[in-house]
Amino acid sequence: MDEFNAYLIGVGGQGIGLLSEILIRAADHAGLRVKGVDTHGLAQRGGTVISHLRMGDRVSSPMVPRGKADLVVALEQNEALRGVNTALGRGGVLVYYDTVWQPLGVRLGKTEPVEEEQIRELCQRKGLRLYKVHAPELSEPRMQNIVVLATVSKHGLIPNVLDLHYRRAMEDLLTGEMLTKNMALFDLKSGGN
Amino acid sequence: MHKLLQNAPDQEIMLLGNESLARGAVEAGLAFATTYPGTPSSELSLNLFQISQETDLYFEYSTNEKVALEVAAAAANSGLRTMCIMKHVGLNVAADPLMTLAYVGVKGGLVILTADDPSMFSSQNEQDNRYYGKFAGLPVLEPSSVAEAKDMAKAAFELSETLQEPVILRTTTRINHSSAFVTLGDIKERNTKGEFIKDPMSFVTVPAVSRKLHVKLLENLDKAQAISNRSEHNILTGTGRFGVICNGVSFLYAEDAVKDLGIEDKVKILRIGFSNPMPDQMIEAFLKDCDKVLVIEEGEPFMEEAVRSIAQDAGISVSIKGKGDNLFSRLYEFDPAMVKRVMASYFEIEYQAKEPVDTSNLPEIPQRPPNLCSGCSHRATFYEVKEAAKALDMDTICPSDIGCYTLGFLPPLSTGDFVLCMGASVSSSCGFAKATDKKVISFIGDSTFFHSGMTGLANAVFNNHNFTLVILDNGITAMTGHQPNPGVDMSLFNLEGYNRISIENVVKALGVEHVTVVKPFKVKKSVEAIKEALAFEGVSVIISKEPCALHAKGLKLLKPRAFTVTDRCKNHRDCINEIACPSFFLEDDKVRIDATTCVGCALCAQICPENAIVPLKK
Repeated sequence: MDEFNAYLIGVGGQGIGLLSEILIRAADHAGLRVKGVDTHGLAQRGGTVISHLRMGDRVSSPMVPRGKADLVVALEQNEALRGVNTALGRGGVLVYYDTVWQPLGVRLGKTEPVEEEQIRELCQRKGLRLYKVHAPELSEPRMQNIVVLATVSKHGLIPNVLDLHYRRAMEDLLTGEMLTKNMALFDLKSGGN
Repeated sequence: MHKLLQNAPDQEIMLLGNESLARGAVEAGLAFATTYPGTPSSELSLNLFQISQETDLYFEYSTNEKVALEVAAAAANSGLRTMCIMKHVGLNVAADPLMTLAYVGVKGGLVILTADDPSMFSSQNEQDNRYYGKFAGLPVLEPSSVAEAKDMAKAAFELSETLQEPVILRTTTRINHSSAFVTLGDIKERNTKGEFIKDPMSFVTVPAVSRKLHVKLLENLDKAQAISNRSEHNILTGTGRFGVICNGVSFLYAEDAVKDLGIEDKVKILRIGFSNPMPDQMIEAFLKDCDKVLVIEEGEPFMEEAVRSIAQDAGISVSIKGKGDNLFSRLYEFDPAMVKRVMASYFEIEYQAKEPVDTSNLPEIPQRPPNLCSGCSHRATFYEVKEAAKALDMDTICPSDIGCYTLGFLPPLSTGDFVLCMGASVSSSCGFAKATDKKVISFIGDSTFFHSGMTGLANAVFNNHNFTLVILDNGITAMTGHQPNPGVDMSLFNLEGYNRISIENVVKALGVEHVTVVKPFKVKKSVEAIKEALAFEGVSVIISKEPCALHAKGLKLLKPRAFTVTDRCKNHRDCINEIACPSFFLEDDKVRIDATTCVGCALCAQICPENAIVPLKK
């Protein structure tokens, strides 16, 4: 593979870090050259959190150039629009988890929240494929990232990275009950196994 | 065993940049490490802290960067391989020992890791610390990738011992926080037994000695320049008549751009990894071979100035550009797409950028700045101070400091009028109190108080200033990821062999006459106590003591017990408008509480005029 760029976006505390680590390891298990860069520090306190992930033989930098993502994975509705606006040009895929963490301005009634329709409209204009993911039965919102991961796997959204690679990556990073719970959810949502 | 201790040469493992730097130091036989935590360097220190618990590596969280460098200077001059780790602004604090340590030099290798933060993801400025190399006369190394970070960390110790000088290893956020595969190398055996050989004419920097030491430093700089000129860290790649001189992450962006633009046969790149002193002969030879040169570096025109001066010296008139109109900015980090655009335009390479999609009618996407966590005790303290000042009808100025609580300046708490640097809350209060007739109330965290708040407080008592200092004591250095400080109960980490300092005792010992400790989640009592402190003439101190909720949750010391909004709610919205905890959200124009994030601090329950917020029944 020459080049594949993924851009992950969410709110600090949603588990973007784990998702990014799973994807980077899965890509490695698939034999791809991969690198990434994450947000640490202050922004993790409820701010917008972004991870860049780049795969392929001709890639040097871990930063996805503005507008050059092939895939945006968003864990929240407002951040989905931000991600599409920043990272995607023409063509590509957006996967987003259908939940809202109201930004401060929205809660104070000072700014308008992003509506689902705006995301659809922008995706249409940019010619993007859109996957909206939701699992209302989840008791633990921190597992929403696994539902998104299962969608990425199920639809083969990262070329050459297969179901088994994602599983291996999860096994690398999680243990005990965490692994069992997350793997069961991944099974259920990816339609695998 | 810690993953960075595995003795598996040639094995490839996935590492964070900061882990790679730690592994490089371990491979070099690091024996001694000191730090004050600061993003983006924090995980490097954390890994060495963990490693020190399994090995005889000595590691300490020092009270501030100046202390850290002074402790490190002694270890290195006792012959130990030593690392001192800080964020870019930390080196300002450590600048005093740095400047003279360059004169004194070192015996064992000393690597000073400074992590710059272009774009200020977690910082108050984006200063370019390469200038410290020039300022102090010390070598500067800069890696471009995660893998190189390890090799360079290792090489920095060798270089330091060759020159008998500290070496500055300078990274930027995108190196520290990148992940990539790194090939492990051999681990050199640690020598932890130091010996200090007395030599006052080399170590005691009275004027007569320092005059000689300065001569030695300049000689060392000449040696460093010769090494830089043949350094493997300065890499020449590609061929062509267009020249790019770059460093750090910019090198990767330039490489990507060359491939994307298909100009592999037109552009050669000189990647500077040894950036002080700059390799003058190497650059001269490079310039002679170019028709046009572009310098790509984030931050200040550090290399650009040097390259121009080398060209001038050598009588080379080739066009050299870097910072300037339609070229690169001195502001913020670079975007790889921007680097490509500038390269294409400067070298006049035609390329068809895809027509961007018009998004002009897209409404503004709500900003999402970081904020205080659900259940954060700082929120309660800020609210109570505001209430107390309101009750006393006081017009206030509120200097704040560096930590999570800086976020208190955001609405609706809006408490924080002036922030400079670590410790400045206390000292600037002295100035505001004298220069204005406002009531001054300042805020500082526990770790920042030990870092550099104590000296300001001594100044305030001695000079008889008049303000109230609120010390937000959450028992941990929270913002950088929960590191210890002198006020922390180390038994929380199951660690022995530490002492604990009481902030209350320190404040009293410094001569503060009005000292009150409050529990911020007891709203009424706290407001009353704060009112008394505000009314006191002179220096008064409130210590607001409550563990960091995030940390306590992590340690399972805090069992979240969510609250909920009942039908009694009449939509006054004091909760959301006064304190805006992130667990609140609006649904059908009513305030609701997210039970999955609410920890049950009960602050909102205490301020609701209808008592409508109650514990959620399971």
